[in-house]
Amino acid sequence: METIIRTQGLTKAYGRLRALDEVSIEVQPGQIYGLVGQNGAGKTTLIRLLTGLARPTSGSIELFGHATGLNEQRHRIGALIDAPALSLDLTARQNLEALRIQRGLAGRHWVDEALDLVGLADTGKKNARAFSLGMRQRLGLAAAFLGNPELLILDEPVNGLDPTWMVTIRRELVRRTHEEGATILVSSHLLAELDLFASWYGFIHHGRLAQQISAEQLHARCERGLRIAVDDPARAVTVLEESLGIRRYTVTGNEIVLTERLDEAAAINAGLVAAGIAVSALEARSMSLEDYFTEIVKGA
Amino acid sequence: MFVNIMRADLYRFTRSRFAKTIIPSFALVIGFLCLFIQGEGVFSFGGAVGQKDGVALIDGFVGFAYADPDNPQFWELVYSASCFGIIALFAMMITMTTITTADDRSGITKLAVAAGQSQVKLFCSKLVVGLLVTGVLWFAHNGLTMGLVLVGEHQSLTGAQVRTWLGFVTVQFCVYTVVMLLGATAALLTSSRIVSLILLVVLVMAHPIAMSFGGDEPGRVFEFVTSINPVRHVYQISRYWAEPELLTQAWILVGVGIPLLLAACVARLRNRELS
Repeated sequence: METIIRTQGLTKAYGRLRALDEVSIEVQPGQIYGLVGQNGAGKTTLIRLLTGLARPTSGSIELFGHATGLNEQRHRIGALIDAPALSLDLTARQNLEALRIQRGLAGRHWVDEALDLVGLADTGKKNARAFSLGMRQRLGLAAAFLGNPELLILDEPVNGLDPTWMVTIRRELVRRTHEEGATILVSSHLLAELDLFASWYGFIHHGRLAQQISAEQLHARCERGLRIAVDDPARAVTVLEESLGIRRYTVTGNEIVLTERLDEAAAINAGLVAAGIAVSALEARSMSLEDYFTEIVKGA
Repeated sequence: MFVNIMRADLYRFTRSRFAKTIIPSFALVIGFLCLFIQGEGVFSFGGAVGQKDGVALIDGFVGFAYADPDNPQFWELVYSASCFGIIALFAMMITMTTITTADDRSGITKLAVAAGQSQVKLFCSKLVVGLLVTGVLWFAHNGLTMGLVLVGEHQSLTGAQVRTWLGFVTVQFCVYTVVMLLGATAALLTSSRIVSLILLVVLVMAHPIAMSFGGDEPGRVFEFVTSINPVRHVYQISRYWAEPELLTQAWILVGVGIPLLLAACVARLRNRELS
């Protein structure tokens, strides 16, 4: 099967600032790829490059297995980027109808389906100007869903949505991947929300791809961490780094949490004790996605 | 497809609040003209620079200034019917820049580009829609005002005069198109509608100021520099019937200006990144 999105060494620089630095990602068919990063990490820049809103400084993009003629391939994309793009003077139906005409989609059923999906079928003659933030967001999502695109690129899709609609949209995204074979790239800083439906993750920090990992691998890693309580954390960290070669850990008070070499608890304990450090507790523990992300960011 | 983009642009425009404000604005302009017809007033923005066959040669816009009010000449009637041309110029410029920039402001351009549509095609579609809208308004406005002037003055036109008048209105529209395209280009380059409006105000004011410095025998350099200002041609086109070289100059402006401005727009659009 062709890779839906592949970037290699993708870089976007504004003067001396590298908003995106040598990012290489792969998104396979049917994946829900969660793009995770802090504000300003480069998520939206990556989305802008993928959707042709900006040009890369260097590196390459492939869409649906094609490195050239990308605009042709982009006809297969539905997108929601930043704020929803709406004509505020038009009703929800008119907004979608205009997009349907523009994209050359035959049949008005596309508009009805998209409106039903986001619960805006009964908004009648109300202009988008009078819509709440959540309604505008839903209309933006309906525009992305219009015509059942093969690839959805959604930038913070649940912004402004109430919990009920967050669940509905999440279910719709999962349904599209399972039943229609759609592929979804979704950026969010709501990690707990992404954790509920993403099947693959790309962690971006300071414009660089810190890690690309499947949801299974991520959950496996988050489930395990090694908490070590010591009397002298500073010296313990030195021992961990210099004697045991451990780099991925966090220190909180007298507690150190390791996120690597988790199956070597006995050896780590022995190494610390041998260095004269008193180990008062040593236990395996699980991590939240936020904790894991914090770890990744620290190591990046 | 380009035709789909244009259909969508027309669909959005005809339902927009801006389109709905055009109708009352249009009625207001026509209403004002009726007031002038009923009264004894004279509308003037610019003035006469000479005369031919007893008809004043106008640099600008002058209405209802008949040498012999009981026997208005054909070109005096044409002047009166087109005396709100300066207002129309601003209205058409605002309409054009509003149409060409609306989707950039709402983010719809971004959505279209993300779906693989070309920025050049999107912009060209808006230009065509803008020209259609302003063209319809321009010809409707001129048809109505000419009709009202003729009724007000108890005059009529021969077939040849109607053709001459239609030719005049068409040439004027072509010159206005250069000004509108200049405004759309300015708005595209600066992402600001205000800039294009300010540019028009500057160009409108620049012409009489420049002419006051030119004297009776302006040099060739001065002539060339001032002829770059498209508004100069807007001012002087109404006397091309007496000075045919003005028509040639107007066609040169249209023939050179439109391709140049379009090329500038295309160059900008090919390099434009949307944020």
